[in-house]
Amino acid sequence: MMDFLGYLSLPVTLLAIFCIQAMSLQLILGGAGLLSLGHAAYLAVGGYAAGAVTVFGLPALGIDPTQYPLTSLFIAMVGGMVAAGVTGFLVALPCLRLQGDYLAMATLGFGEIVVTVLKNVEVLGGTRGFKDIPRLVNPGVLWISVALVGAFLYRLYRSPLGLAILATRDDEIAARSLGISTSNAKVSAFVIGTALAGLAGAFHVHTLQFISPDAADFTRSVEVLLAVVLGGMFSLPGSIFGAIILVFVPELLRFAPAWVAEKRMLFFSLVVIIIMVRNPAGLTAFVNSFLLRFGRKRGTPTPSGGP
Amino acid sequence: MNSENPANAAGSTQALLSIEALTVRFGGLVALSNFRLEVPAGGLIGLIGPNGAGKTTVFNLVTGVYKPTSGSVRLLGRNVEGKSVHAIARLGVGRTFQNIRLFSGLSVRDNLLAASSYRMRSETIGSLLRLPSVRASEQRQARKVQEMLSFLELEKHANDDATSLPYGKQRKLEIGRALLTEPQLLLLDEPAAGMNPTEKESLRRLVAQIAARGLGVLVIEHDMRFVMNLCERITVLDHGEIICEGPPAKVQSDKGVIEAYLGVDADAATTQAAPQPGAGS
Repeated sequence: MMDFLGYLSLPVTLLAIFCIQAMSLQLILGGAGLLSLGHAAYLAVGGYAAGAVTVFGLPALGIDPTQYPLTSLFIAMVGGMVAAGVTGFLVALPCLRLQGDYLAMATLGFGEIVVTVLKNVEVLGGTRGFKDIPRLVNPGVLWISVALVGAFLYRLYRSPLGLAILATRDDEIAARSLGISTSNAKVSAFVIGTALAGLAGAFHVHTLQFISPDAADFTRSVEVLLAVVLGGMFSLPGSIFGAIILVFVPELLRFAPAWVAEKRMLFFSLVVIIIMVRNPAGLTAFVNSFLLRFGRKRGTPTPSGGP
Repeated sequence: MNSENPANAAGSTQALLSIEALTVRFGGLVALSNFRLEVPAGGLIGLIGPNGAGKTTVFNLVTGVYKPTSGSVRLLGRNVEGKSVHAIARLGVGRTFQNIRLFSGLSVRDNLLAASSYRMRSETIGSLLRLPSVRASEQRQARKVQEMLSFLELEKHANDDATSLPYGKQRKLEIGRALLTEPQLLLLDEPAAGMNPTEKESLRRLVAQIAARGLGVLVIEHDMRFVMNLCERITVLDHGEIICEGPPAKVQSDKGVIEAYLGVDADAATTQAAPQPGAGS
């Protein structure tokens, strides 16, 4: 049993990072209605930038990150968020003129550009990856950050900017007629979302002490997308549910009978397909209808846009 | 509602909206030609005409969705040329849409709250941090929304999805949302469409109340009884041109208007209320 718990500690840590990443995409996808297929790229940009801060930046200033882990981590977090947020802004300016499939293609293309660029930056390890980043993250800091990011987004959806973002998602023409600058709303959602993905990147590198260009890969982007859609893309808690399922179901399937465990990704895919076929609106909608059926009234109504 | 409006405070008689010699062409099609219109504060102006006459085009020109080929649109004495749609809305123009455009993912209350988001936008950071100063203005905003809900008689639907409302209530909600931007000019595009007689009467009273508050209201509507009972002046458009302009009585008896609407020979239809038998339909 202890082995099992010890074995779980890394997945639990990775889950926290994945939760932040999923929530950051939920804002862009469910909140702003923008289909981004390159979300992992911002985690990679944030991760590389944060790693560069602690490996090169702080020592150059005469600060040893291992001596001041929390301060260094904080500076690296800010660095990761700024780098990813600025990148998100530069992508948003031209790309948010596009809609639907075209936006998806553009963001996908950008993700591939990031992979290629990172493979060619030798000072950051190139194809071999960026190694020997100090381990500065502890689970406490990480889970508090998950809670803070959740609280931040929850409040954001109830703020004037959040309502402008949701209104823009539902009807741009109506939103403009109310004085809402829809391009500002979309760019803001994209920049906040990508900056939070950069934060996840900063945690990623200071946990695993390593990042490679593969972190920006398309398959990584699809994983986050899957977590958000699985949980219910219009629901903030849903992205956490989705992340939990995506991280733990494959791990739990390892302990299933051998014939299942060997092909666990196959079975996991089946589980995902069944969930999505039965509940296209995601798990949150399923849980809500389940609660309603058993006569429990939902306290505050959750607008499908907000969490 | 408009106490902070400088034009009103100065007691200016200047029209809220004044359109001069407005022409717009889409390729070879002249959608609107030499159009003029004035809407004073508190004025109730009707805009009627057969389908495709260019009525909604007028709205889209005033709100900046289309750019005019020539002519000018002045709001409160300011030329709106080159201004974006949201910038014009911020000058004090509220509008509703021919096919209702509510925010389908938001509750009735949040639809109304969204209308104040642009004025509150500088308070987003404070709102995130729950600063006391911002709390006060949030509560003020929530109160305004609550007042609007009771004005529209939608209190018990406050937490419902906006698009789950019956049609007539959706129309009302859209008007309420436009009002919460605190406009001085309100543009209503076929507000009575699809309403039953009771709903139409309640809507007519609502719009009259809005104008009584000092807002200029411009209404596009196909329901003649509704327009004639509501509006002080009516402009009739056909094929992009004004064919008649004046008080309801004048428009009702205008031969050109009857011809445009009924497509009958003007001489055959001597009274608009009861065209002679056999005059054709």
